[in-house]
Amino acid sequence: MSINNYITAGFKLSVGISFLVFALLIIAPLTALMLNILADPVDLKTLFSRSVLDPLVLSVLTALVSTIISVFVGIPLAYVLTYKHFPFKDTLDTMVNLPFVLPPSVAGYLLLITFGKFGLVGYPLYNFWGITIMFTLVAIIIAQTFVAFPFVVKSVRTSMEEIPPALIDAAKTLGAREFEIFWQVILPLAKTGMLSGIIMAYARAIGEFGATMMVSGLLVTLPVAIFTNALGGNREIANVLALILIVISFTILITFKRIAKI
Amino acid sequence: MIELINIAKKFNNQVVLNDISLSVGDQEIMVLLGPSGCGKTTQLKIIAGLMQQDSGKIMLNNKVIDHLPPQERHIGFVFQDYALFPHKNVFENIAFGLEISKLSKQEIASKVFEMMEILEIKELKDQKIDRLSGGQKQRIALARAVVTSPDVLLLDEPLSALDPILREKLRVELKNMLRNIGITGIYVTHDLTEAMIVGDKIAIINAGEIQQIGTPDEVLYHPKTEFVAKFVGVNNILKGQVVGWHADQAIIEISNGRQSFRINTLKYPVFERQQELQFCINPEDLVLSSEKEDHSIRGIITGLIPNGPVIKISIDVAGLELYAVVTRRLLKYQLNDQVWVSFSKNALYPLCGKKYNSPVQAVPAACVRPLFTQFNLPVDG
Repeated sequence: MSINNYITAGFKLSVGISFLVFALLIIAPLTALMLNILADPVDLKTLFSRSVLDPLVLSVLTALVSTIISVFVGIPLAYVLTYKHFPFKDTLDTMVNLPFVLPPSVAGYLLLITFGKFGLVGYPLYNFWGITIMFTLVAIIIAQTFVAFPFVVKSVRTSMEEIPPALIDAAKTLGAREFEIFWQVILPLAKTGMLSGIIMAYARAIGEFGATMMVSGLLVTLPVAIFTNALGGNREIANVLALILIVISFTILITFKRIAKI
Repeated sequence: MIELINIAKKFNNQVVLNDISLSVGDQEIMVLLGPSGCGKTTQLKIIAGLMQQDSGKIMLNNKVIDHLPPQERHIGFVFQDYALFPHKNVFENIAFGLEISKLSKQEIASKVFEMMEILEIKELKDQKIDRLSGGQKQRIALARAVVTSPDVLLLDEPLSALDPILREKLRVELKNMLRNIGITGIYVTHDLTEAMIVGDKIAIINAGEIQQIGTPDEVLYHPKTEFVAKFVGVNNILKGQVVGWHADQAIIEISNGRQSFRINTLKYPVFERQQELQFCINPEDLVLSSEKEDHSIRGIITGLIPNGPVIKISIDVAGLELYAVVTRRLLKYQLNDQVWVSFSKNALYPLCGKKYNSPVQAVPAACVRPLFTQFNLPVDG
């Protein structure tokens, strides 16, 4: 056998191993879930019980609000990071990307010491206006926004960076001011990045677990409900909730792929 | 009228523009011609306000505009790759500047259609930009830039993105369109033929400095520096000495140190103060013959270089390498053939070596061909 045959065989083996690992990591767990559901079928009563509907509604709605906030925070940040030059721009860029790499428990802890009753922002809010943030719906939205908005920034920024500078120069020579260029040239051309950013942010928000777990108190989101039901032995409900979350994530990813192709 | 006065610009301590001064009259097209990276586009960006100069000033209709942002300069810009807005159709692209200036819908439509009529693009009104050909895009970009009636139009290599056949066709069309619109323009290119067709005047730039400004004929037949001469295709740059003159004619001895030959030419004012000079002979002014003629000089063909429909011939004449051009059809020589070289009347002219510096400093008069009657003198062979 020649050396080339050994290389070809080695290559085929490594591709085979990759597929095996993929099967173990993705296909096996999905199969396990389906087998669990088939072994312990869900009745309609359980499917429409409050144990399933409450976390579902809570997660869908809070993720929606977090995504909207992420858009309002993320687009201006992406614009500033793409087009403006200022001191410590790199530092701001790094801080925006921090939630990507920060462990969710650290994020949750940071939110606790910031928005808790004795926190940097929470203390004055509670003492002067009697406003409590921690362990409320607002806390969940803050936690989800914290992890979701960098997706909007990253995606929109990538789109903005792809806009040829000559288009912006052309708009300037035609008399357009900064806000007119933003509305009429940059934003329409960054549309794809905006849509994919929104979708990824929603996916990240609805699936957020670690930080939400630390700040949500008695409120239970979909990922938190899966965790508590799985630990509490309510496999039937955990199965249904997991399947719902998988379907949502799958749909989001398919939509994302379609948009990315536009 | 637009004037650039002593404009200078550096990038990272590297000089990009060095003391650039030029003036473009009303409805005149000035071409900035030079090799890539010589600072042509930087000049346009500075004029448009998209970049700030380090020193010098720009005056538009006798008013300084340095402090104005691009939005307030009333200067149109046609970009190299057209920079059309891909999310807008043809009509919306052309109307963009008018909409920004808050004109009524009727006014916008009327101006856009008028411009479309002039540029013959009415049928493209609703087309998407990605459906247009290069030539159509170029017209839309031109329409968008001029529909707002700017005081000056800047064009940055507007034909460079097109294929050679279309480029050749559009050179003449573009010149006619600019003439029809009647606008003052500054046109950047690195293509000599394009510059000759489009420009009323040409400024030749090298390494951030203007080498010469003149009409296409002046630049082609009276280059003032060695760079300009080579850039316009005058390969015969020779050192020579004025050995005598009488009346309006002068005799120049061209020498390589060992051998020499003499040519007569018109007497230029510069000869009275400087006898040793560099001289040019345009390749098309060399006449080749197989037979010895009066006043011709013997040469040996050392190279035949095809260049499209013409052949550039290098000839060793008295130890000096001279170039001539003939059309392919008329080529009857081979390598190492002996030929007899003579020169068209007054083919030789001096290179003054002075760079153009400011609008007030005219083209060095000493090098300008005298405007008196030409007559023949025998050429020393």
